[in-house]
Amino acid sequence: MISIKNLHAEVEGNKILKGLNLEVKAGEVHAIMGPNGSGKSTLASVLAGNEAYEVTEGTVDFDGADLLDLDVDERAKEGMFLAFQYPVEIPGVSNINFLKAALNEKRAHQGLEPIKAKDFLALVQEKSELVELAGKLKNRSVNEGFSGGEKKRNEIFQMAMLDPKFAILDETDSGLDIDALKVVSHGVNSMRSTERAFLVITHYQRLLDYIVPDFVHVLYNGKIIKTGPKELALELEEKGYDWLIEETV
Amino acid sequence: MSVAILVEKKEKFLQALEANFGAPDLLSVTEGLDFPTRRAEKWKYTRVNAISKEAWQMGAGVLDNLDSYNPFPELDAVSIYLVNGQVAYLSEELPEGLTIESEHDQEGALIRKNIFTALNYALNPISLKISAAKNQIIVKPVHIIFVNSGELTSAQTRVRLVAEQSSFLHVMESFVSADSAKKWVSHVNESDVQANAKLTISKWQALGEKGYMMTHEFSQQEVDSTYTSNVVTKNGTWTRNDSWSDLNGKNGECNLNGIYQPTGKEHVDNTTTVDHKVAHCESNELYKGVIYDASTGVFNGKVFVRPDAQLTNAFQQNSNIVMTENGTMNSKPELEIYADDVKCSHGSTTGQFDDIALFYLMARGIARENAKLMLVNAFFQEVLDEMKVKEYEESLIVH
Ligand SMILES: Nc1ncnc2c1ncn2[C@@H]1O[C@H](COP(=O)(O)OP(=O)(O)OP(=O)(O)O)[C@@H](O)[C@H]1O
Ligand SMILES: [Mg+2]
Repeated sequence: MISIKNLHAEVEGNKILKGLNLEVKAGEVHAIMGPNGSGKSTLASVLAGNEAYEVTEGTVDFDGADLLDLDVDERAKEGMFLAFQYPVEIPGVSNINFLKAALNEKRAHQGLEPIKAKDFLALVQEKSELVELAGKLKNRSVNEGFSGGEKKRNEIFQMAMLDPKFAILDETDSGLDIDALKVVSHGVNSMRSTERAFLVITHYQRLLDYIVPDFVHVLYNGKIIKTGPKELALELEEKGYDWLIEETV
Repeated sequence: MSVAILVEKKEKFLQALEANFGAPDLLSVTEGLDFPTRRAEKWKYTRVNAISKEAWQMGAGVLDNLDSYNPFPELDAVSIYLVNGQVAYLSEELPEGLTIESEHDQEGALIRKNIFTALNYALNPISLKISAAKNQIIVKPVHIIFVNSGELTSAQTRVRLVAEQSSFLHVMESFVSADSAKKWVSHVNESDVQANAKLTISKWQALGEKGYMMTHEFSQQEVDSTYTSNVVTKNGTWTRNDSWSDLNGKNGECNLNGIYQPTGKEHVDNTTTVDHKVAHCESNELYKGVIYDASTGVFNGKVFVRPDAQLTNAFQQNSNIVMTENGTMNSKPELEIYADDVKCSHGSTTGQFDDIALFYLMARGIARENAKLMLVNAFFQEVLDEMKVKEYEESLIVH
């Protein structure tokens, strides 16, 4: 699905990613953990195409396409999705209208007709129920006035609407209470399939009880310094990162 | 420039107008009034050179296919067409309580405001007077379409509005070009809003390439009245909108709303003066602009709260997005308060485009241009909600 080779990226002259390699196959769930500032969100931003980050070296193959050569929206149309660590509030832009526009642009890209109004509303209903946001989206601007938990659920709602093939969840669990965590996890799990892959960035092993990963990676100082099975998360939670960092140094 | 050169320049400018418009002695009409220079506070960022150097002439008052120039053909309105400043068409059937007449007048409240207003009265002795009679609610808007055409033509137009006691009137003025020749439109509005009346004047400015447009808008309000002025500067090489709003009666409400979106090297200047002369009045100003390319925007907003104007509410906001490094916005909100028990606020923001919001929208699959449009629409929506002119919303908000 996605193959990242020797990825180097910088922001405002600071080198953040320093030769990152990662391979994710269809059907897999990969978790990325790592200390604050290690470059997890930078990786997510670079993959989604945020222009504030400059890729200085490396390649990313996304199902045969040269990902780094695509514009942000083209990546999304090809099936990339990023659930933001900090979802953006956009006053004046309607949640529903914007999502309809996004969905229809994607459909046009796939050579499909715009979705019928009735079908769209049914889809909104179904997917918003999935993350228990039903009724909270009408006549609202994107994320405006949403609580932290609602914003995270809105990210998952959008993911469910857009049906991506590769989704990056950047700390979607941070700050969620246990009920919201279950809701979000349920949303993600219901989308797991052999055709889809997830990259789940988190600080907490707890999430991985709900969204069980195939692999756990540790990102430190712009590189993946350790990869292991889901049990690695437990070990990290117990021992912290220092032992690993010492090992690498 | 030396005084002698300035005088010479003014004389040359006036001589051409006298000859081409058959106007009387313009030197005495404009005595004591000179071209504004950048030393004048209100003209610091706006130069009139491109106008003062030309020999302007009167354009022909007829044009084929007038309808085709109406920017809002679907609008159900009482329509009036002026071609190069001359009435070319007027709806025959007028709703009860509405009168529209041509009036011979060469005097008015704005006559000595500046050289351009003085010339407006001198070059065109006829104004259009639109009145709503006492207690009459004129449901249909009056839509005046000013079509301009011809090289170096100038239209000097004047519309007087009278909303008699407890009446309601909405007048829309649309300024358009029939060609891309250099032209200068100088327009005056004088409005009387009588007790408990509501008058709205909405301007749509779309003179396009080589269009030079000035508007001078004066309103005086009596007790319990509401005056709303909306102006959308859609396009035009150079635009200057000046307004003077006097609140003369208690419980008056004055609303000024503006939208501008200059591109290329266009220049748009909104200069407002709101004068709270008596107590218990409210004024609301909301101007928003998106400055594209190498264009410039100017906002000068002056609010006076006179010693007698206790319990005034005066609100003024100017917000701008400058899209490129070459764009410029000069914003100067200003309050002069001489009463003590008042609520006044003014704010001015000029910022760049919100790149994080743009990234968010694009990351959902929305193409860059569409995402930008969405964000610009969202930015203008607040003003459009104030203006409540459906046609403006439909024209500006492209889905
Ligand atoms: N836009 C930016 N401008 C300047 N520095 C940035 C920017 N974005 C990230 N950085 C820096 O890059 C480094 C990596 O940041 P990043 O957000 O990728 O870390 P992270 O692993 O996601 O951390 P956290 O766990 O706190 O979310 C940090 O030192 C951060 O300060
Ligand atoms: Mg992060």
